[in-house]
Amino acid sequence: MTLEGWQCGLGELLQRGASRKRRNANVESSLDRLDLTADERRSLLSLSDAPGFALTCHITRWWRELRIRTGARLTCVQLSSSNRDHVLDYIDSNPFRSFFFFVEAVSFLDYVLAQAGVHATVRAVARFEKALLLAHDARESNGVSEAPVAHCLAEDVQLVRNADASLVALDRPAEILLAMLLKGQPATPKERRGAYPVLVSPRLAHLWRPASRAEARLFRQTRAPVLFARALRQSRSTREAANSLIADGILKRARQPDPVHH
Amino acid sequence: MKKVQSALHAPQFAPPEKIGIGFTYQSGLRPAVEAARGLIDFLVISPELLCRERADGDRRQFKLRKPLIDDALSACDGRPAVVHGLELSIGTVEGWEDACVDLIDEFARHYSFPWLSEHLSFMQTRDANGAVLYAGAPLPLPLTEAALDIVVPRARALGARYGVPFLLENVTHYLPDLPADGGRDEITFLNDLTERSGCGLLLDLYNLYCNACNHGFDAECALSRLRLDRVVEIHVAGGATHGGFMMDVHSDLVPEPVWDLLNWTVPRTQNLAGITYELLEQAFPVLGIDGVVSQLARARQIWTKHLTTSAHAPEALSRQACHDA
Repeated sequence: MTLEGWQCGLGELLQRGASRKRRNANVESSLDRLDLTADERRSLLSLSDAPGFALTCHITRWWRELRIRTGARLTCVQLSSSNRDHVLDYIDSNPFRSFFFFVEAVSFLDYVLAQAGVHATVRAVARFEKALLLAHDARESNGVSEAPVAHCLAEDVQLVRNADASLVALDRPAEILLAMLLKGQPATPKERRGAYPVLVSPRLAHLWRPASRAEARLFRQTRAPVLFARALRQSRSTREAANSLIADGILKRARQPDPVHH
Repeated sequence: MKKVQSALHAPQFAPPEKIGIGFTYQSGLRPAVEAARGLIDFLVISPELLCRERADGDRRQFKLRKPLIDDALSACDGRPAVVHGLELSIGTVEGWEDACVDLIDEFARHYSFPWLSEHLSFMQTRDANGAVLYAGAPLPLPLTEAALDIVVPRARALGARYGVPFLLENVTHYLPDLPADGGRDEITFLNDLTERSGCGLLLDLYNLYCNACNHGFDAECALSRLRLDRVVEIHVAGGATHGGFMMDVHSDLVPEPVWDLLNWTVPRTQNLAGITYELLEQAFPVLGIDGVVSQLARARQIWTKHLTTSAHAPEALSRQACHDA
């Protein structure tokens, strides 16, 4: 058997063995694409029957589960008793592609957010946790730059969100939610969804803080660059909100004024 | 994969200077490094653990997090750091992981290191569409001429690329009856590899011990057949047992039989430059600082004992080895 054939065959068998769904599929079909003699095929298949092979599959799955449960800890707690099913479904439907806790955790959170049947509270926790992970990653990678010097914003300035900043709507104060989740207790769903907006940014000391109503409104307006004068028409408190959001690295002045807004 | 020049100079093994006792670095182990600073002579840094991954189309990219490296080095008062790669997949037929080489290139632009090491394994193959299929764990190479043909020029190229000794580490594996030719076993394969490539050996005694237990051979007898003059670094660690297999997890204190193997090996390795205790950061809360300190102190005791009695004659000891075994 060629080295390439052996490696590819072992790789295919491992993928099958590490997947809960594929584990019981016809093992021989895993090797169909490879140009193997009957003896070579038999040799690889006998390998896949060995207890050591099962352990190798277990190790790859175990490491992925560890990365997910560590990296997306809050969401796994909120998923409560269904978290193992979600984690295993995710592993089955997403081939392994990274040893990085951050990459695996964000990928898992995207998977959770894409699930139709997920409860609103789980969804909010997943959004919050993903925002925290992205902000933390940005802080570790880029450091935290000096806060811009506060000065009076001209009305012809355009404001836009920083890519690393987020606004997440929670159904209770974030400190209460975090305290519960960090103690391993899932939060019970509440009727007042999204009543507690939270800002997340690499420049914030703890990565998050509550958002005022004016800040939340302004953040929502700035998905694309928006002329400050236009935002000011919404509320008298917009100027104060703009200043605080800029100071916390959540909004920034857009580099090029868009002539369409003039 | 970037082209590997196979026709480099005739392989020449040049051992680095002796350093002493090393400890693996992960951010979660920083308190242990600070507490045990007096027992640590060098850090073992895996750049893949201190970088961020970015996808660039189908290609992976690792970007070094320089502040994290600086933080690691400052925790150890600027003592040297050796580079221990994790994901190169040096044995994959289709080519190694370019992102790892780019990452080490970046590391080398900012920091010097006395040697570089990687695992003798493969972690990727290709699926039916030619896309990369990640194994998710290091897998052993067959003990064949074909595997040597793949690894030898790459090992040579890496040594030449960074101008420091390149070491390959023996890995733990759980697969029975690896394909072999020429009557090779793990030891003769390692000997052929170091001889042909000029690379050094990172002898992981815990991995060897696991393989000996899992596959039923005598570790000390195996060591007596190994080219110990090529051993530059030794790893010791502890792990767990699962389903009757000893697993390489770096989650525990070093088992006594591995200390015995270390005691046996050190006086026979004249080019040994360092002994490293490996620990996973997740295991640190269980072992605590006292646990880490005890392991580093014991490794240092063995290092010092054999270094100060450097009148040892490795060749004579090697000859004696088979009788001992």
